[in-house]
Amino acid sequence: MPTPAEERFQAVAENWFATMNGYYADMAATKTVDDAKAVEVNYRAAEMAYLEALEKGLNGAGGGVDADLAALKKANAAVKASREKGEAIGKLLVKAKDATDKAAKLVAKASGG
Amino acid sequence: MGGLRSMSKFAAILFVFATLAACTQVDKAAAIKLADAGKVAATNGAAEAAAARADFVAGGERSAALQLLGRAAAPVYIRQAEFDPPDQAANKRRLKIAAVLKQREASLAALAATYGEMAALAGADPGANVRKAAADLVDKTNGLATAVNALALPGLPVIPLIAKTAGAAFGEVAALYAEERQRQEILATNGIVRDALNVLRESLKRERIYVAAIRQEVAVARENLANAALNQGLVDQSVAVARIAELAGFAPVKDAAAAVAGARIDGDAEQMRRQRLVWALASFEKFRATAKADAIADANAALEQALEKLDAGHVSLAERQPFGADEALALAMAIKEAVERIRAAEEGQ
Repeated sequence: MPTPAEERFQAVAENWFATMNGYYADMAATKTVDDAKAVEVNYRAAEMAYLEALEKGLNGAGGGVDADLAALKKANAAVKASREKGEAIGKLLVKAKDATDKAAKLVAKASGG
Repeated sequence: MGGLRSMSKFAAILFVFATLAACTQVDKAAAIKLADAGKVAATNGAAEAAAARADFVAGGERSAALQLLGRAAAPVYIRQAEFDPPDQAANKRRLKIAAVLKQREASLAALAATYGEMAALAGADPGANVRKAAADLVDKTNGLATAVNALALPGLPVIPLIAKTAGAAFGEVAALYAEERQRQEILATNGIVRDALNVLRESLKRERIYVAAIRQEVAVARENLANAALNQGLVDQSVAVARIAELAGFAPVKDAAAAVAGARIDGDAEQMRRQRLVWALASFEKFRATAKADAIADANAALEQALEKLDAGHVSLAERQPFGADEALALAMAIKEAVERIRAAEEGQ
């Protein structure tokens, strides 16, 4: 049974691992400079959220942390579904960025940072 | 009459000495067994910490390499100059986290040295220098506590440092005769080692999350890096191909590596077949990385248990109770086995 901190960390890590998993194919699928940059920016942001979660731990009990965790899990699932459906890179990127934003928000709140 | 009085005085003094000696008595054979078990656990724990740190730090390079290979996969009309230069922020953060693993390695190495001196002391080796080793153990373990506390984990209490006065326990050793001095030094070492074990156990509890992270990240990153490098035709696939052939009990065909060379995404049927081979090889890399990460996790779990048993052993030693040194040794051997698995996984790479 994972602790609340471990469960939060797992969701943040899932976003990072999914970003890593899709990175090469996403880059290959880009058609514009903006898309390619967005793929890279998302990659770096996902990695930093994961490392910050590792560094600070996610034991904080800030208000709304549970809701943030639920939102991140939902966003992770949306990215997964988008990849499985083979959605266009533009649509996928919107969902990927949303998941990473939610991961960063959860880390900031649960780490007290 | 006067002679009788001085004889009974002498007998009383002897009785006091005997009583004092009995109060501080330790089982030297038990101390040696405990120290031997502790040395094995600490030595192997230090090796495991080194392996985990190397893997975690290398994650920064893996991540950077994957980013750069991904840029190369972008359409050719997107010029490289249009990307931001690689930044070091993530790497710096990794190094900060890795500092904890480095301190743990140093603390465990000092613990192994202290156990070595403790065994020598209990064995009446005149060369034993347990005071110096114990002082180093306090310094290194306080370094670990400081590094863990610097992570500022919210919701968790600060790990208290071992008071420098712990070393003063040796200053109180003032017995006149060697055997009593030896007993007092063993007990002083016992107390300092217990303090160090408590810090190590608390720090390990907090590092579980790193172990879980390393376990997954290394596997995912290796798979993706292998996939990217194979796709770009940058690596010689013959190592992975040879390993698969070896597992199957055959030698690879002469042009096996060429069978997967030149694979690209969205190609014709032949390219798709090659792409599947690339995925297979990349997945195989992930499997191997997972085996190594599992070994690291096993080693950490075994170390946590061994330190707990050792602590119980030190309590028993101080209280002159029997303790399960054999059990502690069995756990130490489990760590050793896990470390050997890590090394075997590394050699297979």
